[in-house]
Amino acid sequence: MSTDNEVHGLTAGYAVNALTTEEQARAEEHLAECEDCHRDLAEFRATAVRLAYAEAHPPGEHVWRNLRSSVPNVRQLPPETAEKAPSRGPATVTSLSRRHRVLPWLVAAACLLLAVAMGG
Amino acid sequence: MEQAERAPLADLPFGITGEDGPPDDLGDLLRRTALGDLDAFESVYRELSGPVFGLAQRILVDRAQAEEVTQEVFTEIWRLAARFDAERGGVRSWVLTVAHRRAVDRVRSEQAATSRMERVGQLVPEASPADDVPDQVEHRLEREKVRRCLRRLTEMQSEVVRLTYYTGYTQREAAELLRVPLTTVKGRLRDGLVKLRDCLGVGI
Repeated sequence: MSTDNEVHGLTAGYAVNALTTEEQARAEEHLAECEDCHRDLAEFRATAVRLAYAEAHPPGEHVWRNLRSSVPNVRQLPPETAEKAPSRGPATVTSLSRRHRVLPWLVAAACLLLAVAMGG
Repeated sequence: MEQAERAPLADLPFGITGEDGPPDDLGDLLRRTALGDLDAFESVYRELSGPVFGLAQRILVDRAQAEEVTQEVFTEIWRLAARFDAERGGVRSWVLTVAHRRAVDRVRSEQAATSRMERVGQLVPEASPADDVPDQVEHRLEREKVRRCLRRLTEMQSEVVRLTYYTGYTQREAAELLRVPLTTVKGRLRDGLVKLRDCLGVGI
């Protein structure tokens, strides 16, 4: 299956954030079902950590001073608990999950409108 | 019910294993950070701000912007510390994935591709003035090792790794710049990362 292969090949690009928004969504859908890809992704990201360390350089000390004074005013989120719906991580997957959650509501709203229109 | 927590998508940002070296106390420091412990947070910052800032500066070029990104990343770490699950992967991978994403998002939203290309062109050979920092011996060793491994890649593989990871280009942009088909870029990126993984001894 060429499409499967094609999606499979997105893991490396995903690991280094080199995908377009559309490719990224496809990669996430595929990764959700592909155990082997998870291992690849984890290894590629661990490799990327080493690439980042190779560039390590300390920022100016004012960055810490700013953080030291600002974070006490930043609300910390609670842990995600088991009874919540499938937990979603932050960052890259939120846009996808949000879209998935919005769609059923849109459909429901459309149905309601239709029902009202026909009933009235 | 454990299954509910194992929703695969949730694993992606955190689902990173294969930290190099022995398990350190970063996970513990992060747990204390989640309880509002500023000392623990400072330790996390001291440990990871170097690679976060260095990576951001490599991608953004501009020092002030890289420092802004560093501040954003650590604010995010503070906010989400309680949501980090040590069983799902390492702290370093999590933090640096967040950092890379932030830097890349900023570079993509703020700069037109042309001006980025100009600036990137200027710094192609070398851009790390950090070798004189006294307490960064292990970073220097790491840098040398990574460079050795990068030199083992084919020219196309290392170009693609550089353009995507260190510059923030998409695979499509890299393909256009290098004047090769997208499939070539995809293949070289994958091959390059696999070679680097093996050369650096990254294991899960």
